[in-house]
Amino acid sequence: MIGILRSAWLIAEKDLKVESRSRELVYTTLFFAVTAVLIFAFSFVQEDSSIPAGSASGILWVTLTFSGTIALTRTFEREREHDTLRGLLLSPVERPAVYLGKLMAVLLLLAGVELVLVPLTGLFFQAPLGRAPWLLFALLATGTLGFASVGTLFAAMLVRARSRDVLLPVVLFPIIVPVIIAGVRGTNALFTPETDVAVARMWLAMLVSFDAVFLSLALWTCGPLLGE
Amino acid sequence: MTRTVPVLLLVAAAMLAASPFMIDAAPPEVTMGLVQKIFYVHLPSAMIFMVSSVICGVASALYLMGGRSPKADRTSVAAAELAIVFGLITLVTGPLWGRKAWGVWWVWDARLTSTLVMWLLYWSFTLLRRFGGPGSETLSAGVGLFGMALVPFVYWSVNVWRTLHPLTSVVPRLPASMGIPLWWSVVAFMCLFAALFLLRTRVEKLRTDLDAALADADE
Amino acid sequence: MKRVLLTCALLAVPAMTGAQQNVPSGFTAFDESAPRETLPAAPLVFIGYSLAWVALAFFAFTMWRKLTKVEQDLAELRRGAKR
Repeated sequence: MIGILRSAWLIAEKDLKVESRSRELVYTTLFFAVTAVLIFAFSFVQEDSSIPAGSASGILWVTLTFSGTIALTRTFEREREHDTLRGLLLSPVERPAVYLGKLMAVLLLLAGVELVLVPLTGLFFQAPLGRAPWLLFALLATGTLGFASVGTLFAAMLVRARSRDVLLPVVLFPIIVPVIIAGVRGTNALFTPETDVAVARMWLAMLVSFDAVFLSLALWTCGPLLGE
Repeated sequence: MTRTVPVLLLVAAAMLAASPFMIDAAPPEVTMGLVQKIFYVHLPSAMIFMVSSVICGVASALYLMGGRSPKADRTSVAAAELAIVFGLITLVTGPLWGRKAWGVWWVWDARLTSTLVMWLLYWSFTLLRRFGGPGSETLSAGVGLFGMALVPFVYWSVNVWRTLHPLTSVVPRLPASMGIPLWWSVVAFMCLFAALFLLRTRVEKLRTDLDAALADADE
Repeated sequence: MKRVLLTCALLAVPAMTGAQQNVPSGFTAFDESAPRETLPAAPLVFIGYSLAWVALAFFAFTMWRKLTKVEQDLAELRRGAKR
């Protein structure tokens, strides 16, 4: 078990080192996220500067979903270009370690994006981020983990498939519907004038159980799915 | 095997031919009147959709974790396509009924939304098979397996919102006069499903045989 | 094989418990006294049934055609191989 975690960390570290040299993923994903929020702002902010109720949470999670998908596609495209994934799979490292390593790297990338995205959304859509910051953090963390745990697996398994760019959203989005629902409704419960912490906690509980089930499922199936 | 399909189709056809008379004889439902008759197509389709989903999920699991048997693969493909067909019928007859009964075409209630999400999942399964290139049998099995695990989560998360759907217990509490045509329709649809399923798996088997024969011929 | 069945059983448990937590609310108040559109129901029922028939017939027909074509191709290939 420790061996797997250690191997996973090595793989994640390798990804972070590669990323720290070019910073391509961070910059491009972040830029995409910011421009997406801007487009949403143009779409939703009314002439009298009012914002429809509940838009902030929705926009936050939609932007996260799309940025996350782009980040995943690009991460594995990079592996494919240099054919490094095959090297990784041939090495004497167990499949779950490869999966966990990539997952950790993706999570760190998305965390970096969220560090900018969340305050920006709060700024543009007047969302009260400070009202229940820890609960907000928990919702974002569990939601991102849910998204990334399924996304990393699917992106990895699609690496050698045809039409992989469009197929990733096609197969990923139906699976993460509960994450989106829980994330948006939970965040919205925190952002509404009558903050409902109990409701947010309930959605957080759902996200935790989703993460537990799907992370386990991913670890169990990553062997056959990541293949030869 | 090739005789089972026509027999099943004949049985289904006969039952479905008889069903309008049975449906007509059933009393109209108190508040909804004529439009409730859609129920006799909507509910069996929904049940078959769920059955097909489970078959696809289990077959995907068996394929992925139980040795990649071609039979499991064929089963999951056929079940996914039939889930799309019966899901389509459910998702169209539902709103047609809902427009009259509830006044709106679409409501975000748990069952309808879960059905829609799962329907999309089987589309993603099929699209992956069609456009994913070689090796997509394994990938789609992954999607099928994850899809099966998804069902309770989708249902629960949508269910926390208000639901307008009738209680499940509507079925047991139905008077015999409505129950009989309903179960008649369910059995008829099941026969139809079985026939179409066998047909589809046969097509898939022959297709793989053809691919193998072509590969042999090339050598 | 056992692992597969065990997992399926495990996955079925949350599915069943989830399904049992049906929020029992039945039909929401369909306000009888409020003015509502009186849509003729017959066209809706007709469309519903026709669509079901068309979809199923279309699927069966497509599958039948694919079956005959693949059977033909296979027979041709086998005939060619015998020569």
